[in-house]
This record gives sequence, C-alpha cells and structure tokens, in this order.
Amino acid sequence: MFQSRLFARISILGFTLALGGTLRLALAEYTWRWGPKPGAEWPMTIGNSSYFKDWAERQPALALGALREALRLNPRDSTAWMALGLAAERNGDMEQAADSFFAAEQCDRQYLPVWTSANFFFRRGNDLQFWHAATRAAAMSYDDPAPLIELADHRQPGAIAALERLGESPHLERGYLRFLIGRSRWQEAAEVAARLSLHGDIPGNDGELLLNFTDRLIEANQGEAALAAWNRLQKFPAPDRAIRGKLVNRNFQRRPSGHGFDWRVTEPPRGSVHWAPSRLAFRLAEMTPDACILLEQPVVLDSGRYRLRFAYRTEGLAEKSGLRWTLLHDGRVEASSGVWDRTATKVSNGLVAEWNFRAAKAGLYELAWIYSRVPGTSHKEGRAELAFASLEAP
Amino acid sequence: MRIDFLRSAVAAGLALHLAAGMGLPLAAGQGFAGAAAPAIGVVVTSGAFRLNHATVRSNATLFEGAMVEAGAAPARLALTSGAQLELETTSAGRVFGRHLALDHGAVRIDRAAGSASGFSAGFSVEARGLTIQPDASGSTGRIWLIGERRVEVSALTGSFRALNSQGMLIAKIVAGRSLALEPQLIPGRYRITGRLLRREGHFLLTDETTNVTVEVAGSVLSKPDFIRLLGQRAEFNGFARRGATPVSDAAQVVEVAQVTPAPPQGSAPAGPDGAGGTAPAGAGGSAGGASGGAGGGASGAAVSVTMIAIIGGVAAAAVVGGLAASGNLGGSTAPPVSR
Repeated sequence: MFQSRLFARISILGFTLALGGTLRLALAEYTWRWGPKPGAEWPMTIGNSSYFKDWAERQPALALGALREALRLNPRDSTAWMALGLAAERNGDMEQAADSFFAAEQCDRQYLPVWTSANFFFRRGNDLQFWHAATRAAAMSYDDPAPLIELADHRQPGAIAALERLGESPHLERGYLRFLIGRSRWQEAAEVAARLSLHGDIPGNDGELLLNFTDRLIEANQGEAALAAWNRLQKFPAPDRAIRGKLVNRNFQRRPSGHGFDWRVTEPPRGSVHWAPSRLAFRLAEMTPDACILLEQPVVLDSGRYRLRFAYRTEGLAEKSGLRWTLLHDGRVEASSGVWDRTATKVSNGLVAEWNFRAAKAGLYELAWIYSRVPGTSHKEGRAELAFASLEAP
Repeated sequence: MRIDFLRSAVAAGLALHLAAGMGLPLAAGQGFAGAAAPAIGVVVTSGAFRLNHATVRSNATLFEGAMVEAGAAPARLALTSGAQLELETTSAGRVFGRHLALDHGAVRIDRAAGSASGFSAGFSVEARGLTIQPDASGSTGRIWLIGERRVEVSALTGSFRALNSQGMLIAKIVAGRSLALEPQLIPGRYRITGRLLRREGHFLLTDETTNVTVEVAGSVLSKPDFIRLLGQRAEFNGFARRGATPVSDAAQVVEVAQVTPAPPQGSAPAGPDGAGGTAPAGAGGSAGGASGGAGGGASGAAVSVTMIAIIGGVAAAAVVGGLAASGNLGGSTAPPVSR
C-alpha cells in the first residue's frame, strides 16, 4: 500500500517535472521565434546557443551580449566565435575581434575559421597575420582556391611571389593559373604554367589545362609564350615539338589534335574530312560555300622569306581547284598563294608544289589552306588530299 | 529546417555586424585600414555562394566588380559605404562600391548608406537598363527581376527613384508601394494620366502611377478645348522633347500628341479600349490594350494593377498585392488607352 502510494507520488512528481520542462522548452521556442523585446534580459538559458546566435541576428544592438551568451552555453561553437569577432570588428575592437577569430580557429581546425581570419587580417591590412592565416588556409583548401588566391594576389604583387608565400602546391598552381587566365595576365600565367608543368599531373587534368592555356595564349597572340607552353607538354622524344619557322605534324602522321601548334581541321560545310596516317582528305560538295577554311596551323615566324612545300592531290574538282594557302596575322591576310591547278610537279601519288612568301615582321601567324571558288568556275563535288606540308626558310 | 533557419540567422548576423563594422568606423576614419586593395565590403551567407564563379562558404571579402551568386541561402552584402543588401536565394549580381548590377533574381536593400549625412551619392541598383536609387539612407525596399523584361520595385520604408537608361526620372516609389517597370521598344514615349495644372504659364501634370511631374507642351495646348482640361483628370500621349529644360519640379518636357479627358478616379472601369486607364484589379487584359494587358492579363497571379503609364519609354504599373504576374505590361505597339 505504502509502496504503491510512493510510486504514485514519484510518478506525479516526474510527470510534473517533465511537463514543466516541456513548457519551458515551448516558451523558449516561442521567445526564440518572436524574439525578445529590445533591452529585455535573456528570458531563457536552456542550453541552446543557436537561439542566441539567432537573437544576435535579429537584434544587432544586442548582438555582442547574445553571442557571449551563446558562447557561455557552448564555448566550442566556432560560428559563434566568428560572429563575435565580426561584431567586435564592427565596434572597432580589433583586439577582441582577433581574439575571437583565434578562438574560432582553436575550436574548429578546419578551413572556414582560418579563411575568415585571413579575410579579417586582409581588411585590417595586417600583412603578417594575413599571410599566416592565408598560408594555413591554403594548406587546408581542397575546393576551388580562387577566392583565397584573389586575396593573396591583391596583397602580393606578382603571382610567383604570392604562390611562394602561400606555399607551393599543384593545387594552388592550377588555381592560380586559372585565376590569371581569367584576367588575361599572360606573362604571369606563363610563369605559373611552367611550374605546374613540373609539379602537375601532365598526363591527366593538368595536361588538359595547360593545353587549353596554350590555345588561349595563341588566341591572345602571345606566340613565344604559347610556343614554350606547347613544348613543355611534349613528351620525349617529342615529334610535335614546335620550332620557329617550322610546321608541326607536317606529314600528318598523327591525327590533328586541333590544339596548340598542331593542325586545326575544319570539316567543309556539307562536305566531309577523313584522316589516315600521312593523308588528310577533304570531300567538297556542290553545295560547299564559295569560301571556307579547311586546315590551319599557328606558326611563329621571324621576319623574312619562307617556302612552303606540300604534296596534294585532287579528284573531280574544277581545273582551277580553288585551293590556296593563306598567311594570316592578327586575323588579317598577310600573303596568299595562287590557286593550285594540275600543273604542279607530278610525283607518284600526286603533285608537289611550293609557295614562297614573306613574313613582314616576327610574330605569331596562321597558315591556312582554304577553298575559294574561282570566279567563272562552278562548284563540283570532289576530293582534295594533302600528304605533307613543310615550311622552311630558303 | 530549424538548422537551416539558424544558419541563415547566423549569416545575417555576421552581415549586420560587418555592415556596421565597416560603415561606422569608416565614418570615423577607420575601416579597412592599410588594406592593399580596395575591398568594398563583405558577403556572408549561411551556406555556400559563388564569388566570381568560385564556390565559397560562409563569408568573403568583396572587391570592385565582384560577381556574387547566392545559393540556397540568401547572401548578405555589407559594403564599406554602409549599404546593406540581401541577394535573395539563387539571385546574382555584380557588386560595385556604389551600385549593384542585378543579373537575375531579387535584391533587398536593407540600408542604402551608412548615415544620412553621408548619403550624397547613395547606393543604387541597376537592372535591365533601369537605375533604382533610394532617396534616403534609411530607404529599404526590394528589386525583383521578373520574366524577360520586367523589374518590380517595392519600397518598404523611405522612397526610391527609378531612372531609365538615359538617366531620366521615370518613377518615384514611396513606402508601401510597388511598381512594375518594363522598358519598351520606343524610347522616350509617354502615356501619363493626372490632373492638369498651370503654374507661371506652364502646364504641369503629375502622373498618378509613377508620381513623376512633367511639363506638357506642344501644339495641342493651343487648341481652344485644351484650357477646359485645367484641373481635370486627363490622359496625355506624347514623347519626350529632347534638350528642353522643364520648369522646376518637373522632370521632363513632354511634347503632347494626344490628350483625352479621363474619368475621375474611382469611377466606372475602362471601356472596351481601356479608356481612362483606371482599370480595376484583374481587368488589365483590356485596360492595357497590349498583349497581356496590365500585368494581370497574362497570368493574373496575385496581382492587382490599377494603372499603366508609359514614361520615358518605360511602362509602369502600380502593383498591389506584392506579386507581379509575368505578363506583358504593354509593348510599344500598344494602341493608346484613349482616343
């Protein structure tokens, strides 16, 4: 009897305590949702630091107090430390801000607190602390390092110097290279690319990045840098190594890649193109437009005379085939050959011809094989094949 | 859900703290002391966002021309000028020290500048060729890009001015009002409605939709019937007179081609061709006379357009209800509301 009464009383007491706790939580939840009145004391301290971080957001005037309360409840809440640091920065208390960011780093030894510190010290113009934080952030960065690189780049003139301060790694080098390409800072990009070609994964993604970089350099008319970048990508022995005044893959032994200093092949509209070792064949249709580029290759030339020798064969095309070579510089035609007809020197499997031209000044050129219908002739379906094309200074 | 909310709250807190932290100390000659590069502010979010196309978490320092793309959480921008903005979820814009070029989505202006005294060149938002300027440092509002062409401006506190691509004032939006703006194909076109007043020999009219006062001019004014419109509500169609200087208080001189008396406000709705332009909510399909009519015609979703004006080549419709429909406010080929 006594035991059952005792049990009932304990149950009632337990129920009452649970009800009280539930009501307290409900009140805390309500207060959190609707927020305290300005200037009001904290009505609840129920052990959830998130409530106070939320209050700090809703009541900026109470932010410092709310964040301190949040940290009293959970001293290892790095986001609260960061928020407190930023609140202190607002109030001009830089010492407190720095301490808070330091505490955030102590609680959470991951990227975010150290990234936040780097930003803070950047804004404060504190070089020493900025680089200290930035270097640690760089070591922890597994995502895109571009934002960190941008901070470092603003702080340290010169990409290589900034990289050395951040701590060199292929991850940072490829991030910096992308950053510099995006800003068309070609010279610095070339320096970073040179480093990446030593440390990076050239058979893998870095090779692709460097190849794209070479293409961008060519588009930007940065011939020498493009030549160096391209040659760094060539394995030993390097049949596709580019040299001033010489063509790459001149026998078409390898399938034209369309990148860097290799041939770029364009399928003629309504026609087709076919490659086989030492043979590149174009089929031109009756509907092919009056003019189109079939093949081109960038080449770095010195000022002076050059001779292009090439072997070709045509089938079915008009007597005046409409095929010719053109030298372009900066998108403008510098020199253009005559139209090749069937009077060139015959060899066993086609015709060999030469075209002599002059490059007015040193620089990056495009040598293009084009089809341009000769006035007075009509389109005819046919084939045009190239077996080799080589360039030399006579 | 609650965790997301809390994250948002913390992010917002960080932004607010930094806003004050950068705005107020700058006024006192502090701020980003000694920074090598001109940082223009801070962006904070509870999740991830994209900064110059790179993914960033939590916060970052902003530089001139930074492209900010908010992710699943809004991105709060606190600028050294004191301006505070919230780029809403999945919105994007390019941030400069004195303006934001809104690319897509919506932005909320929580504070236009650090202090009223420092508001000589307040923050502005550029959207689809329009410039939205808060009138005071305390002005708060929201600018929202809708569909392909429309910009909606809502003023929560204070007021905002909208300028067209030529810098011509096309609307004043006061607290509690929303205006949907849509640049038209014919620049400089006007179709405005209001009471005609005469001041010192000049005829002035304040458009009821856009709150913009213009001076009206042209051969129409010399017609004998015109003087009878004084003090009356009328609709004017015309074009901006280039190079003309309006009298004070007027934003532009409008060469009037056509004037039509308009019924008093609150009178019967527009006729079949939308005469009077005072179409009630939901009647935009006929009132505008254009494809889709007055915003409500196309989809009619939670929108009540009371008037359409065309001012400085921009169609403007007062929007009640907060959400604009995605229809057309009226193309440049729209026939006049009245004859």
